[in-house]
Amino acid sequence: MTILEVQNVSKQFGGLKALQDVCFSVNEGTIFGLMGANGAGKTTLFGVIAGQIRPNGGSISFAGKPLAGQRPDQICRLGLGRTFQIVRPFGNLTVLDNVIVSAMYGAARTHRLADATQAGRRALEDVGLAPLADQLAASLTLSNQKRLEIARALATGARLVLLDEVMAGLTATEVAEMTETLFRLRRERGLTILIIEHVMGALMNLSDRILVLDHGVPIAMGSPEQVVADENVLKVYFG
Amino acid sequence: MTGKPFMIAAFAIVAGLMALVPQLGSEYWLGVAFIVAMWIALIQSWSLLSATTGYISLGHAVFYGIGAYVLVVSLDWMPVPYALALSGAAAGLLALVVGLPVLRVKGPYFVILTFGFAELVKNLVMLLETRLGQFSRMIFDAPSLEALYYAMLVLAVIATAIAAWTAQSRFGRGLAAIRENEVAAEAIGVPVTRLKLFAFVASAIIPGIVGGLLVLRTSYFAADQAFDPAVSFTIVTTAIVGGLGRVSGPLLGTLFLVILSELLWARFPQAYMMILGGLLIVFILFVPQGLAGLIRKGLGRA
Repeated sequence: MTILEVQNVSKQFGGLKALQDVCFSVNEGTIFGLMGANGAGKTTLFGVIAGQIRPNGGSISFAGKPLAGQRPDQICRLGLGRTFQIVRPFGNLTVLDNVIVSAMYGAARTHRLADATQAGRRALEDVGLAPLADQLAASLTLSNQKRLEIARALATGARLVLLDEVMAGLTATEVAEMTETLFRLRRERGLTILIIEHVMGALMNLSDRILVLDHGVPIAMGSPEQVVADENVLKVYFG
Repeated sequence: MTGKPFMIAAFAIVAGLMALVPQLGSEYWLGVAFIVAMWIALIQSWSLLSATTGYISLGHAVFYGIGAYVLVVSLDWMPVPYALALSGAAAGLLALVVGLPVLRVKGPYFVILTFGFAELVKNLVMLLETRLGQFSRMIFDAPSLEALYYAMLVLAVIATAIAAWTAQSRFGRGLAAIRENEVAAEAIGVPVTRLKLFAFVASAIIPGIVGGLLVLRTSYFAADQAFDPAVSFTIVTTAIVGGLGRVSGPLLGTLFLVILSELLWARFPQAYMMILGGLLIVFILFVPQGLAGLIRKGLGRA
């Protein structure tokens, strides 16, 4: 079952071709990895999918619905959540309030405070932030703010989440924990994950399939084993 | 001590006491109470947009002024209550029309744009009045001060109730998310533009009616006075002194402002605005949580 279908997506910023004819599809309940050096267009692709950036061409459909022309909040309400590589916490709100507002407005549309609080707490437990629920989000460490990004995306009730470098800056133990968490989320919530990660080991370990971008151009796609053995990938990464 | 029932009881007592002011039989105190209710209504309304979303409007006098103008013009055709309703509707409509373009800019740009827009409307109304051969308008059969006071008090209570409801509602949480990070708010499903516009319109309606009531009180309309930017400045200053983000902030700020002006206005009228400016600086630098924050801290320690 395809949940996300990206077809011939292109994006130019002035003369810079950030994305060129990117095509891929993600099956429901799988983890799909995005790989590429800095400036390869990974985050731009996330922005295009989640509606923050308007593409110059191509089409994207989520759960069978075309996303063209939809605003980010509309896309979120369809069940597509995202995190930000440069974290964007609601700093003056508590950690719990961060996820409550998410549950209230996201795809779950949990309007009642009691229900939203419950959904929020569950998301915090999923990422291990439950003990910090009453702290102000601004007071969290960076790695906890990254966890909060995930919790907020989960609390929207998303079926697909886009995770943008949520493991950067985590220690090896934390990376292992986070990997375990993501597997558990897929198992328990049936979550589909599209993930950008620079921690290569984790990405190889997590992903069912990987797409490699180089300067906005897709150069390889397949299982982790296929991708690491790919000639184009080796050329780009190791010269 | 600071629980919800306690706060509701405190607000009810304040409103009840204010409702008794006409029984004093003093024109002076009734006038003062009218002004207190007026600033509470204005500042609570302003807070609905500016304290919640962080979009600081420095042009709220435009809604107050348009309300005054609509009232004084429409009074020839309809009874006072209808004219007041029209004042509120006109202010809301104005906010709806200008809201979409104005709310696209943030931070200092929004502050300057709202201020500039208010001045533009002021000058347009002045031009229009001059063309019509009107330099000022008088109202001859205005309702009694007592009646106007009760109307103003009702507005203050409604504005305060809306602020209290908003603070714990889904709507208020969405606005807080917008204040904290607009891009993230949109990414978790908050319809940012619609919510901002709704808050902007809601924050304009009561000030429109307030403008209508004030012009009935003074029985006199002149565009440069009705659209006086000092009204906008005073709203922002008093809101900050009282404390942003708390329902009690506008009440405390108003109390402070009115006591200050009653003490100073008679004796040192020239110093009044200077002292107000000085206070604003002191509060922003040293008491960013305002009087409401100070009191909360005090209660917490006790």
